Amino acid sequence: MKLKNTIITIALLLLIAVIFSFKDSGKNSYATNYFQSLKSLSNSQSQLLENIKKNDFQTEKDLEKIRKEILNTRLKLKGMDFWFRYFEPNVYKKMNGPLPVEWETEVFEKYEKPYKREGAGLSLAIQYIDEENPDKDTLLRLIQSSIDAEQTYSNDSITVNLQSYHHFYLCNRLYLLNLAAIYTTGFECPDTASVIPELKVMMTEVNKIYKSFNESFPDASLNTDYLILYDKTLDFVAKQSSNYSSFDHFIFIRDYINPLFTINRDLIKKYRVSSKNMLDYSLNKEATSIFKKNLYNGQNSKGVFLRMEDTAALNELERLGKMLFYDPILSGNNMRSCASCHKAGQYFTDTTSKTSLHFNQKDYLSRNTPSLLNAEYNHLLMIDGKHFTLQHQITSVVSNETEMCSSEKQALAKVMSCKDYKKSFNKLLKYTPQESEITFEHIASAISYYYSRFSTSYAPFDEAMNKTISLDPESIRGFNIFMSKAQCATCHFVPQFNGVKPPYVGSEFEVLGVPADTGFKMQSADKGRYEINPASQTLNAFRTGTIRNAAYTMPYMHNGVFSNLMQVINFYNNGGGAGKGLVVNNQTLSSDPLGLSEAEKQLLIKFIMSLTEQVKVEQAPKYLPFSSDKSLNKRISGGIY
Amino acid sequence: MLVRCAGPKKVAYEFPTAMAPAIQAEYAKQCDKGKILYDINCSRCHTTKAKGKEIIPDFNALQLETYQIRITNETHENNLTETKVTAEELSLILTFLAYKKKNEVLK
Repeated sequence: MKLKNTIITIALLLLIAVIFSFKDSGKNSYATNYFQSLKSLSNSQSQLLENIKKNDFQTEKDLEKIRKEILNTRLKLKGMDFWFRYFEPNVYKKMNGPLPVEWETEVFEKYEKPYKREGAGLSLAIQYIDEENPDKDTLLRLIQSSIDAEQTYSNDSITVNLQSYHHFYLCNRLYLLNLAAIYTTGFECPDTASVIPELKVMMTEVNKIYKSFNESFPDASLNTDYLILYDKTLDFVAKQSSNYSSFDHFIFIRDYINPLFTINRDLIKKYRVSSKNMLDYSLNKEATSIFKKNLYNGQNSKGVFLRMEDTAALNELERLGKMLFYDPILSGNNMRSCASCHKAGQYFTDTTSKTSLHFNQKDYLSRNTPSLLNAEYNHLLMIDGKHFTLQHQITSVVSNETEMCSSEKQALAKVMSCKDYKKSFNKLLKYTPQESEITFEHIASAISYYYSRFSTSYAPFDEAMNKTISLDPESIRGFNIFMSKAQCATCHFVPQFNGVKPPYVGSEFEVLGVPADTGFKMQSADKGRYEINPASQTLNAFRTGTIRNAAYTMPYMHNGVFSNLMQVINFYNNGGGAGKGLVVNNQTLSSDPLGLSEAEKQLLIKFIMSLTEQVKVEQAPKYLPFSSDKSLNKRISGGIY
Repeated sequence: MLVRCAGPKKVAYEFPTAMAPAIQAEYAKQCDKGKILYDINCSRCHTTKAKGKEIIPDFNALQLETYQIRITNETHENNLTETKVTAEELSLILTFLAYKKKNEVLK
């Protein structure tokens, strides 16, 4: 009897232990997956390092062997990309950095100096081994950096995230955004033949992550809709060509990635996912599509009136902003307004001259007028990234001797000498209790609020992505070329097609070797970003602008050197300035020709046309407010030059 | 919401004695703005009342670490975004909290 009882007790205990261990493994399968993948990557990297040490580096065959091994190790890395990129993006640059040195200013650090971030790891290793006479020590250093960086990902401060579901949906959001913006373009994959094969492996690995996550977090799991659509996405990708130029980027994003993004967004709301990661700083949980303009927050167009929500007050701000935009009272000689260079009928730029007139009416400025449309989707403004806010930018133009040649103080006094402005601004003062009186900041805020209202329009391409219209097949083919062979998308990122890539916290700069004139005799002397942050990598670097409305915002480049899109496409097709034989130190664009056919170039132009937004055009105000200073009342709406 | 803060009560500041008076005056102006912005954006959760007196907590340097405070907790993640408080405003608030006179320790 006693024995029987003991046996039953033991059996029961065993059963409990088994149940608990199952439950336990369910709980941990997600974390286990992470640690196992990390271990596997670690082994693979160490093995790679040993094999490089043993390799003679003599024959083409030796190098090919190493090349293959690096590509294989990259596959393991891609399996962890889902987590790595989100948990520690700067450490990840040591494993999969696209450039040896990058100078970055992220939106939350914008009041600090730009940071120098050095890249290393497997993408640079692949690039390096293809160079002439690669040196073994350099290659070993690149791999060793990646091994050192990998250690970070087993730190408690990072792995603690795996215990809750919150990070998962934010990792997944970033993953989906990158599927739309960079993973299919070769952005971090210099070997273009590997882009789609790597994508296939990564997407399959992420499916395993999904499965283990759902086992561990049944109360906050990915729903069936998501999983079914993801399976369909895998099927779609499996059937696609392995050549990224034949891959259907358009269908991939429209029918799979964007709908997945929408479901993930709904789950973020449903599970009240909260972030403790600065990478989520700009992204907006309300955005239901990648192709909605509220996807991320770039600039605060309301300026000092940030928290003003009252419709009547906002309408008043817009009215004031419009008058100020056309009012030459802001210039030193009362003859120039914002609209002098940013013309409403010309997509808020000046399409008639390379660069606008100097204040002195004789000379010309050194840089092309940028369009104000979509300016707010940048964290740094101006072609050299000099300004952090739209209001700083306005203040700087007003006080610039070559542009409007006034000063904050003078412009404010003149504006406030007009009864309408004075009365109306004073009424709005209560919305800015931290300010005891109207300042130039209020004026600048009204202007930025006014013109930013024109950036809310959509282009046919957006509507096609949001499935409200269909797009013509030529534009679609153009987009597919844009995303692959033409390499445009490695700098102009979905969805704004500017230099802001997921998670949309920084702006990128590139050295292209833009010539001083179309004869390509010399590079433009403009130092670009170097003026703001001097470093060898920033010399002649310029902030990447948007492709939106580019069909109508000629001329192009920082100096307006190219007058039509074909010239721009040919410039890139020939490998930039260096490709045309100019000496360009540190060109970030490959100097190899792209090999685009004439037909392909035409398709690219078709796609760019589809990014033309339906911007409404307003007439200039007929009358401007009267000033108590009679000499100011002769001014003409819009200015005279 | 906006009016609630605009009380006439002034908060005293403590500047390092080594700081030149002109600079102190400049900082005091910033602190005044920071106080108003604090009242609008932060006081609802952070200001406590004791014996009818409003007490603004003394934060330490670590708690006032610039942009990191945007994601310190779920409330900040939703209410201290750049669309609600700009980077410049945030820095004014932090200046105010850093130089605000410390509370007397109640015994």
